[in-house]
Amino acid sequence: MNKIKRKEKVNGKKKECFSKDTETSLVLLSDADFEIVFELLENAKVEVFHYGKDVTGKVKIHLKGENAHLIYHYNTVNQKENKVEVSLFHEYPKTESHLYFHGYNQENHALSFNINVAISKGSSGSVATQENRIFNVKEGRAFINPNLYVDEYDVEATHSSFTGPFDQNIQFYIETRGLSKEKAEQLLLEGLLVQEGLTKEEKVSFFQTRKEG
Amino acid sequence: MLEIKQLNVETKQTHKPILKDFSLTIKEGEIHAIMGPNGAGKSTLSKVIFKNPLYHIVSGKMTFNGSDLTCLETDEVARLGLFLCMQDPMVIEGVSNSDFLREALFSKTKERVNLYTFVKEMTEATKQLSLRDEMIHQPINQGLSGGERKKNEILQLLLLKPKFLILDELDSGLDVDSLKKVCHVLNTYLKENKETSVLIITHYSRILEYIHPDYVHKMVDGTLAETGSLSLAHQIEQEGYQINEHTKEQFHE
Ligand SMILES: Nc1ncnc2c1ncn2[C@@H]1O[C@H](COP(=O)(O)OP(=O)(O)OP(=O)(O)O)[C@@H](O)[C@H]1O
Ligand SMILES: [Mg+2]
Repeated sequence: MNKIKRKEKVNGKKKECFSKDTETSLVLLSDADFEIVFELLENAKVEVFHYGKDVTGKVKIHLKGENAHLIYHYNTVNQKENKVEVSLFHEYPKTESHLYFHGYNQENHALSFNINVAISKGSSGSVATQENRIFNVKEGRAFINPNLYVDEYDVEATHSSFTGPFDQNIQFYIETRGLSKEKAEQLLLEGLLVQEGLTKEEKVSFFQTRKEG
Repeated sequence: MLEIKQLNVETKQTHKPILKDFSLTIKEGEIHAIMGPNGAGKSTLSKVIFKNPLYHIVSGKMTFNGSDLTCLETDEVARLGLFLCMQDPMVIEGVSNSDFLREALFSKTKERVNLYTFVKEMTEATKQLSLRDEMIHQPINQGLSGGERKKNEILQLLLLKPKFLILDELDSGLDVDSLKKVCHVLNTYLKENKETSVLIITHYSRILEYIHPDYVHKMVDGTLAETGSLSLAHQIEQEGYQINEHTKEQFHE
């Protein structure tokens, strides 16, 4: 199976269907609000690295064939009030979804992730995991609301979430090696936004995290 | 070099006093060891020197080569040439050892080191410490055992070349051979950098058999209760802290 790799800007609406027996790796960049609808057919394997810069958005995903397999990394840097809503539907047996929604809340606003996953009857042997986190740099507020609707016995579903301040001990550790508070924060931010998908340089230029000097 | 006078420190949030009229002077090239019961304030002392924001200096003086540490930030203390080898080094996800150290070096020297030279130097250091060289590109301390994390602290030290080392329980977590190896590496460093001073925090005299201290201090309840030579370390190890207190009481009776 040939793996297709693509990188695109997604502002506004996007709809795509991934056909049977394909493997795709997608890098998506959003710097304006977005609305995404994906359908995965039998044996379609999709890995998404989605970077959002201070945006609100909706992601709707249908796993519409046996063995459809989705991995979705969403990474965002937040500076105003934003919300990201995910609705994911497992509709066939042996479908898999793995969600990693990570946010870095820089200012004193709220960032929310509402993650809804439904595993409907007839999706036996399916796996759904999610691991979400939001770090507050200042006094911002973070909300992660995972909702799981399971209507089938033989499935595996897990979720973990973390919201809270950047770990002060870690910050301290980095600073004891001579890195300034800003540099330490920037390194942690770059680390928080997963390594794959974009190169470090691309990430830095997209988010413009690096302050001059 | 390092001069601490009558330092009183409490926790910022709960105002719990931890260091009480603490005084200690460490001159260039000297090696000091501090031993003391759990909770005496040894790690806190090391964090206070590094200006950890959890602590508040109520009174006292603390200088390094004439610079007033009480008005510096953590990174500024580090850039004066102090290095803290932590008791419990943590995992830092997503930040690789090499990226981290290169940034640290840049912060210190303001010069970008050539990546090739840098990786070569780092690989050499991993060899000296018997660390796997894959770790260079892996996140800080991820997948490393307790002892390997201590070695990683020493690896950072070797690359950053500090003038003043604080080793907070370096010996905990290291097996017999590793401790020997790490101490050998440190001794070589000290031989090549004679002006370097060291503060060793430990519970056991074994590390002091390898790195010979000029002074051994006993720290109890936030202050230094006694100062001596290596024999004080042996005495503490044999008698513990309780017995000393106890004999003191008997003596007073
Ligand atoms: N941030 C903090 N908030 C509250 N209490 C603290 C804080 N830091 C240290 N302490 C307390 O201060 C005391 C000294 O702690 P410290 O870690 O310095 O001890 P230590 O001498 O290093 O002990 P050990 O030998 O177990 O490592 C302990 O009672 C500890 O609980
Ligand atoms: Mg300690």
